Amino acid sequence: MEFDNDLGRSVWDDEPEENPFNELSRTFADLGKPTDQEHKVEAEQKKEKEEPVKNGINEPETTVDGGWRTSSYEGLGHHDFSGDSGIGIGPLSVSEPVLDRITDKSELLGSLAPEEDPLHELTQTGILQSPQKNDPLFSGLDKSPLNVFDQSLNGYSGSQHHSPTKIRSGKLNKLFSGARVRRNPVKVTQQKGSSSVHDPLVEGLVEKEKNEQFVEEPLTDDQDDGKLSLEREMESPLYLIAERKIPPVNPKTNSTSSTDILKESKEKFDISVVDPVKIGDITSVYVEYTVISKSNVLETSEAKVKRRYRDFRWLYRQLQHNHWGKIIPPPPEKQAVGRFKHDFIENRRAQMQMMLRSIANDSVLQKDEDFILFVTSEKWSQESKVREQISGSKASHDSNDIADIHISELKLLGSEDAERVLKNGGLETETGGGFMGLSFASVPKYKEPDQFFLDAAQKMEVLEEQLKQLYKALELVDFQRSDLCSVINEFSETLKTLADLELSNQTSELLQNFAEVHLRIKESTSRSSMQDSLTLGVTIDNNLRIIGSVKAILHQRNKLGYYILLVESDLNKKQGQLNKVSGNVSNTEKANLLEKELSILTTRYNVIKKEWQTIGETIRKELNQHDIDTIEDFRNNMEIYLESAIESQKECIEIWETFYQNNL
Amino acid sequence: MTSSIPYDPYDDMDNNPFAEPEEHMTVPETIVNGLEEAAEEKPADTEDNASEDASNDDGNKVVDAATEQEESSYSSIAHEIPIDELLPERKNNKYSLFVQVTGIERAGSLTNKKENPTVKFDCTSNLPTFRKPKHKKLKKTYSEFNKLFKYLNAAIPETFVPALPSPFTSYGINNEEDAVKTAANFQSWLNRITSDPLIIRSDELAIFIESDLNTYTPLKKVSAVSGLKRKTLKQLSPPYDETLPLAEFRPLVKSIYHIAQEIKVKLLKMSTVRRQLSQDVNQFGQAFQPLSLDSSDLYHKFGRVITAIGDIESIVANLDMATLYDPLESIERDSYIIKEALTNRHFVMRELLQAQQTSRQRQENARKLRAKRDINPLKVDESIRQLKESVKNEHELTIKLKRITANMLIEREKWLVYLQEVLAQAIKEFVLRKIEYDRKKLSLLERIRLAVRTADGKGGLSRLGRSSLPTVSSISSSQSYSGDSWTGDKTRTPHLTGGIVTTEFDNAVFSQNNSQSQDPLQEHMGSSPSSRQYTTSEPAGLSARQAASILGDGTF
Repeated sequence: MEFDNDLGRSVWDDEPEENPFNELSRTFADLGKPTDQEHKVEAEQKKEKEEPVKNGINEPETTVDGGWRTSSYEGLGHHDFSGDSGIGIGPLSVSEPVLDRITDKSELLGSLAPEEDPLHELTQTGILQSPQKNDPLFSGLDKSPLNVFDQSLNGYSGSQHHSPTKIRSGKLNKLFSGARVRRNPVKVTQQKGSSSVHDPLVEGLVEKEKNEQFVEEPLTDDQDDGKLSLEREMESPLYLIAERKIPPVNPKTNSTSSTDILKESKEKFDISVVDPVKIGDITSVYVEYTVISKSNVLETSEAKVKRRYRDFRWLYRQLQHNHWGKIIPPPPEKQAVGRFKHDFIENRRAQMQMMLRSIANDSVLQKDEDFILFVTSEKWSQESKVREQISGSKASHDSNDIADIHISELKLLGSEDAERVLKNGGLETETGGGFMGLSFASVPKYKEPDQFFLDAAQKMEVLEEQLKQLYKALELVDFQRSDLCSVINEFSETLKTLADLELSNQTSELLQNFAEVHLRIKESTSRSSMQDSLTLGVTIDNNLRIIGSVKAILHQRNKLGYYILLVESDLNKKQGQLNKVSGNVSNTEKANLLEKELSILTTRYNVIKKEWQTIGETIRKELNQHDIDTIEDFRNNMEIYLESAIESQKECIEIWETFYQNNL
Repeated sequence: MTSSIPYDPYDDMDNNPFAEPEEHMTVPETIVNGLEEAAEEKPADTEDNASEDASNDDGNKVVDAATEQEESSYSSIAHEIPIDELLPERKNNKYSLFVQVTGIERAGSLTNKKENPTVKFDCTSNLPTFRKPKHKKLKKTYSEFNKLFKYLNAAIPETFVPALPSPFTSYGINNEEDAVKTAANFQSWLNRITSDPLIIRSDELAIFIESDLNTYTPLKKVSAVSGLKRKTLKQLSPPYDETLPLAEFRPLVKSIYHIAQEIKVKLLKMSTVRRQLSQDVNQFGQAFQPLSLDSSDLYHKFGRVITAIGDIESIVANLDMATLYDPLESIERDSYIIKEALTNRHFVMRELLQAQQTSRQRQENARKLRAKRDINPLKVDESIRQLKESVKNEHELTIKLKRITANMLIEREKWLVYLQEVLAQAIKEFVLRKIEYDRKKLSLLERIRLAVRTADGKGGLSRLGRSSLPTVSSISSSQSYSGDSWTGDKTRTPHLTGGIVTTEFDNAVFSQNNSQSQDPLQEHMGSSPSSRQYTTSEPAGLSARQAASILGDGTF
């Protein structure tokens, strides 16, 4: 469905005429505090507004089949439907036949949509899905609308209140428990965001920044376009494949609404890290790896770039920043000593390849801009820095610990507010009126209210400890085994010298064979040792690092929770001041000022709170999936370990039995 | 007579009328017995002394004859003495000694237990040195054995006295296997002692056997070359040895000694590493046990099995020592003793050379005397006496050396055969033990296999692309008396010890599971809800090969 998004984006880029949405959002903003029902109403209104447009558009699409504009409209149409899920049978009936007829893509959409329908009917999708807008992937793509949003946001940000977020959180739970794919709807969600009051705030700012960034780096845009066209022209079979992956469609509900939950099609993405080369002089040596990737996601469908370890860390941080609450496949640990032993490099290469492959296998991550940039960029050093600066991810200020995180104010609060905050030295110092305030005001410690996360954190701790033990034990075993191998080797050599004494033909033959057998046992041992470290060892190691990643997302939530507390206390203080001042007529100026500040704080509070909830949901989902994946993977490797142990045992028996039979 | 003087030098060399025939006649005589020869020479001497008129010529001639005779006999001796005469003990086996070890007793302090066990044995003999033919329930401590051994080793230079077995084995002193093995070692040592006719004739052996427990000390003192003198002598290059097999034997034995030592070191290292490995594996298994990836019991069980594997590994490490290290140690000791015995032979040879030199010198003296005009009869007497003495000494040494050489040639063959047997036996035992424990490991591993596979619905190994679920029955043990499932070679009978592969860890590994969950069978089935009965659903008819092919590992 990325397809759709691309289309949408390009359309927006090309055509400012879409502004109706922006206007729409403004109208929403005017509406003030939307309750659930208000949302519905809004959606209806929006739908009604857009309906004509969509209907008009659908027709041309069938004929053109692949025009960017049409596709984008289609995307819009979907969005519409999602919005009016509760309401509209009429529009649905109209759109459906059209969709069926046309391209594969449209079929896909049609099939997808119905699947999600029930959910939407149950829960109001428009609001529910808003959290998903956070996906930076897609958000980065729209330009013009965002700018508009910004202005509108400023206007109405102050007017926002807590109530909507609360409602949303309740619904969110439901949604997530039911639906599994959150990714496709990229565009649509955004648009929805515009329709629902809150989303644009958060997203918009970030996105705007991204857009600015894009202006600076035209390359990425071009890539996207190129990719788009490519896909359009030649990739219809691909979509068919994607369609197959989609779970059975519920035929009775044909509404195209709720596209947001569409399962994102996962592109095939071949990626490999090869050819480590040492580069640099004595003082600054590093190893460069060649990353070769092949995929339709890429503009050129094939790319080959050189990256060093540091860049992989960058990618990890960047992805972590782009996808809060998502478990990012972690890079290998840093290791300062012995970096250039071949074994180490090979190990690291394998681990990095594993990391890239898991990223490439994730339907969301594989389309992440930064990932694409990583695998394609030729001017890596500049572009990566630019990206980092724009996103505020501080990706290159990388701490050793995978679990450490950095929350970008830019992303969290949007550019405007973030600027304000950053001027005062970041969220932590700014709130409470500088560090003096901080030191006196007793800032309550963040306490995770949700037992789930507490449990998860604890479970991770325990598991990490256990796995570490296991890993250490395995390492020791491996070490001893290789020791044993070398000793067996020596032993066998001495046996041979005894054989060379030629006590008698028979004896020296016996001894010779005995020595040979030991050599074979040695080979078998070292083979199985290698296999163990390749299967179980790698798995445990990988799991350990993933646990680091999991801890990172839990930290993200904690940090956000902490921010909430900070802002809340600030907010209360300001409120108190305002109350004091507002009674006094002479202080109207001051009161106004305070009011303004208060509104800013409120917005900020809401934003953070929403983000905090969103991340909670994401984490919940991620953890569940993670548990399943991990356990499966671990068991698989356990079994492989077992089977290989059995096989090597059989081999040993066979060797000894044969020796016995032939010599004794 | 005076006229003959000027011719003397030539006479002496060229045409001694007596020399040739005498030589031929005397050779056999000298060989038969040193004493006889001495007696035979006496008449000649007396003759010399009796005839006062006897010219120096005559005396000289006699001396010359004796010398020449001695020289020629020396050169020919090695090839001509029949072994029976050299070693009358080996002529017939009329004497025999049977010793039956009945047990080992370890008592007292810990070190005493370990270093000084008491050997219990019965013995029967027809040797005249024994006071009665049968002795029952004899007890001797290890230190007494050691004294006896030391005495024998020094007193009988002709033979390679077998080295005493070690007082303990690598099994550790507190178990059955050790007692059996140590007793067996002593039995085999005693057997080797009693099969040596030279040793059993030693009266010290009778004294040893007939003395009370802990009272034996050797009655006779024997002194071998020892201490600094021995060390110095060993530095010299070995004398020329015309017995090639023995000349080559010493370096061979020496390298056997060194290599055995080296192998021992390597083996010890291997065993140590293996033991550490076993500990690590153990720990690995234990680290598995508390794993809480999910709630299933699988990791616990898996960890248990791995732990048991670690335990087996440590057993194997011990067995390596017991089955290979101990025999190697006895070989090492043996070879050391043999090496020293051969060194002693070298000393004898050196002594002989010295004796030869002395006698040659004295002959020279005699010759000088003869050349003088005025002969002091006292001096002549003296010189003749010395000459005779040294010739006798030389002769005795020669005989001794011959005896040693002849016996050692026999012993050498015996020992080489013994060495091969010991080596083969050790390796055989080593291999059998290996097979036994590898099989045990395999059977343990295969038993957990089912639990691992049934842990999830996919039957495990899902990513290996196996399409069909293995049935429970296909995962049976791959070892049976009828052969191993992975090999097509049915002619081989697998070395299965005990029942089809039960291990001493079965209880430890699997019984606790039972206590954890009431129904072990259910446990075995893991998550599969159908709860087919493990025992009953296993059809006996499924052939091992078939199972192997189902598993996809039938490539053997």
